Parts: sequence; structure tokens; C-alpha cells
Amino acid sequence: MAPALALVALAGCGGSDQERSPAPDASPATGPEGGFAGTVRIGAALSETGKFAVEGRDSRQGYDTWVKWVNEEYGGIEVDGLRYAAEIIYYDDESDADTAANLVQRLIDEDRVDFLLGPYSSGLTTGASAIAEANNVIMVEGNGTSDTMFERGFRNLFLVATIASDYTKSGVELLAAEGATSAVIAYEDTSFPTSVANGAIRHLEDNGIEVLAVETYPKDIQDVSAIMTKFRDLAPDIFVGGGHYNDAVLFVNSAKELGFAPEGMLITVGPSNPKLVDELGEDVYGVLGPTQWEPVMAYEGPYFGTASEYAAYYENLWGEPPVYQAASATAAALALHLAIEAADATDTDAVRDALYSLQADTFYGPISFDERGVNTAKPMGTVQVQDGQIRVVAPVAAAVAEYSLPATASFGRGASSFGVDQAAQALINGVALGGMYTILVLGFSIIWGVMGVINFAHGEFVMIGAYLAWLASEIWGVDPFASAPLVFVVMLALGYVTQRLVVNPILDRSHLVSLLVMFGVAIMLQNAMKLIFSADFRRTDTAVGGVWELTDGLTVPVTRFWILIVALAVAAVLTLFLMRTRLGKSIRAAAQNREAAGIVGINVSRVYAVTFAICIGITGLAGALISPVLAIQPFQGPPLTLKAFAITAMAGLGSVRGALGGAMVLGIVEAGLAVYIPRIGTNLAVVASFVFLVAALVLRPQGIFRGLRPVDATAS
Amino acid sequence: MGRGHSTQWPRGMVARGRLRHAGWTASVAILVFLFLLPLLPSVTNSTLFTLTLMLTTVGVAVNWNLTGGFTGYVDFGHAVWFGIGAYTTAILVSLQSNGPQIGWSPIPAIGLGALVAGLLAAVIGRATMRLKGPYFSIAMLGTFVAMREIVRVSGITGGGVGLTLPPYLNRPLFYYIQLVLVVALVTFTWWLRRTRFGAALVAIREDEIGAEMRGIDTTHFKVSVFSFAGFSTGLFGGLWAYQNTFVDPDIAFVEVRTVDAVMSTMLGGLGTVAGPVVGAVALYWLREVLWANLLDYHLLTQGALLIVIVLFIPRGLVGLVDRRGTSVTTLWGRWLGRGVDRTKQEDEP
Repeated sequence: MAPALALVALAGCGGSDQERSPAPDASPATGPEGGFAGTVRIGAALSETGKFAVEGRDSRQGYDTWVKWVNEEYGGIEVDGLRYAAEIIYYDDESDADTAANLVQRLIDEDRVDFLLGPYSSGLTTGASAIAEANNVIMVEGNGTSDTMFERGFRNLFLVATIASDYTKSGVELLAAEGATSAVIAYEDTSFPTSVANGAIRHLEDNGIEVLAVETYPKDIQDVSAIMTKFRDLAPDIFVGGGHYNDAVLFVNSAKELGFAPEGMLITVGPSNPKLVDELGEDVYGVLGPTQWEPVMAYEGPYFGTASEYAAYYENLWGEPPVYQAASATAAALALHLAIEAADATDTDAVRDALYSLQADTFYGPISFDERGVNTAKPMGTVQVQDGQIRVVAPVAAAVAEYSLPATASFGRGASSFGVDQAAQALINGVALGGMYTILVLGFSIIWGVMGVINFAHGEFVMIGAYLAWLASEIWGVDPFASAPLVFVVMLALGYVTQRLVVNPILDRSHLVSLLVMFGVAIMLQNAMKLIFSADFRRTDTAVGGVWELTDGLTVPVTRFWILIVALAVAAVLTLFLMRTRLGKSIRAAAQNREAAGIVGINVSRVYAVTFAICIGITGLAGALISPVLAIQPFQGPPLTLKAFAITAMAGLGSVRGALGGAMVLGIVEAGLAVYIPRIGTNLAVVASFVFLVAALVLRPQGIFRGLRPVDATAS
Repeated sequence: MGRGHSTQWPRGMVARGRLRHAGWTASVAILVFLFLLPLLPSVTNSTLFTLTLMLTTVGVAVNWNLTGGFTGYVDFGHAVWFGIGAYTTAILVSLQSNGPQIGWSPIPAIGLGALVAGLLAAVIGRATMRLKGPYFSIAMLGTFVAMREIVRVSGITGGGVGLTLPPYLNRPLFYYIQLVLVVALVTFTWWLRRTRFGAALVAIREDEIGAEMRGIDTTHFKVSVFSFAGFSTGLFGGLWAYQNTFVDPDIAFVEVRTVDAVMSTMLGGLGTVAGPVVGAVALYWLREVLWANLLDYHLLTQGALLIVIVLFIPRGLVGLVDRRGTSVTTLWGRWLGRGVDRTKQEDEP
């Protein structure tokens, strides 16, 4: 939250080597070079760290491209016959709204900047632009496109990019021209995707395409199969979906897994990113996506030349081709530059008037602001992934390739209902989900039941197991189902070490101490994994994928089916182990009465370490198994921990049967909600486990099933 | 784990005698300075805004400590009241086209926002405060997540797009409002700790069943203080929404607000009057000075710091200056003692 380090890039010192790394070393703060009459000071808060770190860096490189160009190639901003150097003062907003607001205030008050450039993302820009407006400082931006911020009547906010509600316009027009008549929409229920989706609904209806269903889903969703199952049964021509890059991975995977193949898939963020093609390969062929800008687009202007010349200049500086976020940033700075020169002054009122009357052709496309401050001259582009290449297919003015229909598809198949038995399908999905929850919850439940420790870092151990499986599949190409036993062994060792180092010292401390310590461990593991693997979503491939088609279009997801089988096997082995073996009996004895177990000669300390190791082993195994189904990312843990808590508290601490039953109930309820509740079903499924938990605990605080340790929520 | 509340909490008495006297003098001096600060010519809106954000963290931490520190109910979802206060204010004030367009002025809107948060806290607290220990903690975390989703799918809240408020950004005004609020809140806490009401809260923490047996209506006391904490955090939420000029589910309901409150209180001293204030300021300072240079590593170190505080300085910074200060040897003893809660023995009368 706190404002972090200032990074100051001064005139003409944007050398590619020192700037490429997001290292905290500030560039030497020398004054403007000789020959300039002065400096135009511009401020920007950008994300160097946090969830927008990557896009923040791209935006910054975009701004710095302009700084370098204007000072070294162009010779400075010309005002009243004199040449001024451009200087951008950067701060890291840590992807946090409070920090971004604080920094913009600081840029205005303490750094006394003349103008502001935008931060990355709509959420941060909405707060930052209000401060700019209240202080009468102009902010030009290219990476915050939600419609709401342009409804506020601000006079100082200008957007060079296409506004969110027009993201899908050219894509929808293209698909309508190809003969599409029906569509479904799924979007993340956050600011930017909602703006995009609301716009998409409007554009679809304007083009005579019937919207069959609209579904929303929560941020950081890990599983979209319920939505995709519903959509598959509607058999629409077009699927419009998305929120963020990672959602594109989920949608393409899930559509493949479930056999959902609409003729046109228009995914709002992702298809324009070459990373998606690398990640998903042939699965993503044919998918369409909007793009603000591509280097191949047929745009050109007197500054930077053509789009591809800009791209070459950028690549020369940074060693990588520009993504559209970077080009939008450069274009924002360029628009400000052109307005200052047109006004021949640097005072806010003159430059604002110049911005409103600006008419420019640039490498980024035409720029001309309407009364809201939105650039309405530039249409949104649409790309299609064709044979591993990202090609621009719309709008016509910028297109370089023809839209090509996927080989197997044809439009106009119509919404022929399969007549699927929804209840049966929901039950199948629910049981499959329950199988996943079973394997996910077992380790958590036993640790709590035996040792009385609530493993708040449970989800993080799942995450580590998933990453191990991903590594095995990346390095040796091993199927996660094959590497799962290996992951189990590695996690066994990690569990043992963790128990000895961290858990043992807190065994007898209060619940507050153990909760907070494990919470600290969770934060550390998340961020350590993020440093190692980045926050990008990963996934593994498995040979046991796809769906089995039963009668009447009922389908069974194959991967989940096998996870269920493994879960049942693990549950059976675990029960036998606890009931029949000597060690298992020791574990149960230690759970029932630790002191008495010690008196009869059981080494309780060793039993605890072994229990923890086995449970973490199972938890890691679970992570490996779900790695082809749920996206792997450093922050996937907390929701899994909460689910495990909910199931365990309802089903009895350390009860294997209870875990199985609780997991099945929760799985079926969630699947039912997602299928039967239109539009917000998936959101409600997220809430279901908590409502369950609170209701179950309040109504029956002594627990529903009996486990190794009695549930008693009313005694501490 | 789970062997009764009676002994796990540091006693939480601020140092007495000379130390107390010095503390009072210093507090008054700092207060006078803070009240005169905006009059200094070199102090900009930016400085005041930074301090206002810090006062928000302090205020939320003090509120968290009311339940977490005094009654021993560790609320892992406290940020929910902040979000409700922020959203109610935004709903009443916003003129956005997809919102309800009620158009109230800020003062009544923020006040009603706090009332809504307080009332909801009373209702939800009645149910969840029947639960103890980790069950209560997780139930509140569940409440937090559920409320965020409810706000996301409701119509009146603008859904996922959120609501914008008119940009009326008077930094000195909000600074003074929040400074007065925090001072009032800390004074209230100090006073509360000395009343029968406060004694009842501590009795609940130490031995709830025992307290009940002596005729203390524990439900009434703990739900009242929980509701008050919700009200007060809702107030800060409303003030924040107005200054941020924008709410959406993901910036109004953030886990970090709870984490900061917990960390501040633990760092400063759980169940003490000054602890949350000292802790929140120290946390801010740590971030500004230390973690700013660690960039990506700062969350990693934050996790490590939490573990260190909880294990080694469970009585917090305020506890360190207490006369029974924690020495390095006791820290080592605690670690080597593995599983023996030395704080228990220390706190036995």
C-alpha cells in the first residue's frame, strides 16, 4: 500500500540494457542535456510489482520509447520556437489502488509535473484520473478503457485506445457477415470484462445475432467447465468470452475437454498474445480476439513511420517486439506531445483545447478525441490464430488476412437442443467435482484430526504438487498421472521437513498462533513460487483427457473420472492403513489422547511427523492430479484451503468417510447451482461452501459426522 | 492447541509508572504536532493523503483489536465491514448511469454506511460469535468472501463495474476528520478498558464459560463490541470510498485490509490500547523504508515477519517496553522449548 521507490528516467538515458530489467536502481538523475531550453515534466504511476507487473513494464517501455525518440531523434518538444526535453517521473504503484492514488497526488504536489500519463488497468486509472481532474492536470492514457470512467464528465482525461465496450465490435461484425446467428457470452464479473461484455451484447444485437445465454464468473476462476457444459448444450454459433489472459487458457482447455466447438470463438484477452499459441498449440487455432494494435496493421503517420517501423524501433530498444499495451502507451505520450506542439504552450487549458481538436494519423491508427475524451477514430482490430500465426482479419482497413473458418465447422447449424437431461449431467459433474474435492481434502482433514493443527497453507502444498507435475511434464514430458507417485514422494519429504521446522514448535500454542504461523507460511510459499515461476497460469497435458459420450449427449469428463478413481483408491488405502497397521493405530491413539499414547510407549513426536509427511504427500499428489484440470498458478491455494476447511468442519475432523461424503455433497451442490442458476450460477457456487460452512457450524456446532477428534465449534 | 483461552493472551497492560508518564507526554506532543501539521507551509496534500491512508490502517487495526484483542475473537474477515461502509456510501452518493443515482451528500451517506455495517455486524455476529477459536475465524473469512460475491452480482452495487463518486478531494479536511476519529477511537478504547464493560470483554477472553457463570451476559457484550467495531470500520470504509472516488468489489473488499489489521495489532501488542497504533505506524514505516528496496520480495518478508512476531514477540512492541521485557535469551528459550508456550507461564498472575 505504501508508495514505493521512485524510478526516474531522465531525458535521453533510456538505454535498453539498463531499462529492461525492473531492477530498483534509479537512472542517474542528471539534468537535461545541452541544447534544450528546458524540460516538460510528465508523471506516471505504473505497476513494477504486483499483479500488473508485466503489463506495467510493457507500458513503461512504451512511454520510454517515446521519451527516447522525442529527445534523441525528434530533437525535443517544440514550444514557441524552443526545444524542450521530455522527462517522465515514474513511481511503482504496486498494482494497488490506494498506492496509485497516493503516488499521483505526490506527482502533482511534490514533483510538480506538468502532465500525467495513465497507469495500467481500468481500476487504477479510475482512481488516478479523479485526482488528476480535481487538481486540473491532464492525464492521457492508453491502458484503462472501462466505460464508467468516461461517464464522469472529466475534462482532463484522454484515452487513445478503443473504449472497452467497442472491443468486440469488428469481430462481431465479421462473424455476422460470415453468417452467424446465435451467440453465448461468459465474462469475468470485474470492471473491464463487464464493460467489454455489455458492449458485446449490444454489438451482437445490433448485428441481428441472438444472445442465447450470458454467464458471469468470479475473478481468478479455476474451472469453467460448468459454464462450458451449459453452452455446449445450447450449440451456439459464437462464443464470446473472457476477462484476462489466463481465462483464455481455461476456456480453450475446457471447450476441448468437454467437446464444445462453436464455429467462432471470440476471446477478449489472449489470442493476440503469442504466448497463448505457445501454451495451447493447435487447440487455439481458429480462435478470434480483439486487439488494440498489431505491428502488421496498415497504419502510418509522420512520427515513428508505419506500425512495423515503430515495432522495429521498439524492438531495437528493448530486445522484444511491442505488445499492444506498449504501443498504446507510446501513442498516449505521442498524443500529448502533438497537443503541446499544437497549443504551442504547456499550460493545461491550451493543451486541453489542443487535445480536443487533435486530428492525427499515427503508427497506432488515427487519433481524435470525442467530448468524453475517448479516441473514437481508431477502430478495434480483430486477430485470428491461423496455423500458429496471429493474423489481423478485421477491420478491413487494417486487415492483412482473410477470416478462415475452422475446417470442421460451418455456420447455421442452429441451436439444436441435444435434449440433454440436465439433472443427470449436473449429477455427473457434481460427482466428478466431488472426487477432486475428496483427494484435495484428505490430507487437511487427517492433519487437523490427528494433530489439531489447521493447516492454513494446505492449498499452497496442493499448488507446489501441481508445479512439480508441471515441471515433470515440461522437462521429461511425463504425464501428470504418471508423475503423481514421484510427486507424492517429494512432497512426503517436504512435509516431514515442514513438520519438524515449523509445525512442531507451534503444536501446543493457541489456535491464533498456529493459524497465523501457517498463514505466514502460506504467504511465503505463494510469493516464493511466484518469484520462481511467475504468476502466469500453467497447465499440464494428460493422455486421459476429453469426454466420454454416454447416451443423449450426456458426457463424463475423463480426467476427472480418473481423479475420482484415484481419490477412492487413496481413501480406501488410507482407511486400511489407519485401521489395520501398527503405525496407523499409533496415529489414531495419538489423536485420541496424546499423553496416554506417550505413556504406552508411542513416540508421539515421530507419529506426528510421519502423519504430517503422509498428509502432505497426499496433498501434493492431489495437486499433480488436478494439474490438467485446474490452472496452476501461485495464488491458487487459498480457495482450496477454505474449501478443505468447510468440508472438514462439516464432515468430521480426520474422518476419511466424512471427507468423501462432504466432498461429494459440496461437489453436487456446486455443480447444481452452476447448471440451474442462470447467469450468476458460477458466482454462487463460489459462495456455496461458505454459506454451507457457516450454516452447518451455527446450526450444528458439534459437527455432523464423527471423526478422529470431535468437532466442537463452541469450545475453544 | 485448544486448551482454553484462559492463558494464551499477553496481559496487555501498558507500562506503568515513569514509563506511563513519558508515554502520556509523548502522546500529547505527537498529537499537537499532528493537529498543527497541515498549517506548515511545506506540507503538501500528498503528505496529508499519505497520513490519511495511514490513519485508515490505524483505525481499522484499533477496531480489529476490540474483538481480536479484548474478547479473543479473531476476526479473519474484518475487511468486510470496510467494504460495506464503502459500498453503502458509494451507492448513496454515486450518480453513475448504471447505479441507483440517489445523490446524497457525503456526510449522511458515510454515516448511514457505518450504521449499515454496524447493524449487519450485529446480525452476523449473533450467529458467528456462537463459534469459537478457528471456527469463528474461518466463518468470518467465509462471510467476507461471500459478501464480496453478493456485491458483485447485485444490481444496486453496479455489479463488477463498480461505482464512481464525484471527485471532491479535500485532503486537509479528510485528514482532520480521520485524525479526530482515530484519537476518539483510541480514547474510547482506553476508557472502555477501564469500565465494567471492558472488564467483561477481557473476562470473555480469559474464560467465557466462567464469565457466563458469574452472570455476565457474554453474548450481549461480545456482540455489542463486535457491532461497534463493524460500525467504526464501516466509517473508515465510507471515508475511504469518498477519497478514492471509486469502488468495485475487488478494491473495496480486499483481504490485505484484514491482514494489515492483524499484523499491526500483533506487531504492536494484541489486546493493548496503544498496540494497534504503534504496530500500524511501524508497519507503514517498514514498508516505506525497508521493503521499498525489496520490491518483489516484500510479501515474502512480510510472511516471514508475521511468523517471527507470532513466535518470538507475542506481546508485541508495546510488550517489549513493558517492565517484563522479552530478552534474547527468552526468545531462544521459546524456540528451543518447542511447543511449550512460555507466554502462558509469563502471564500467570
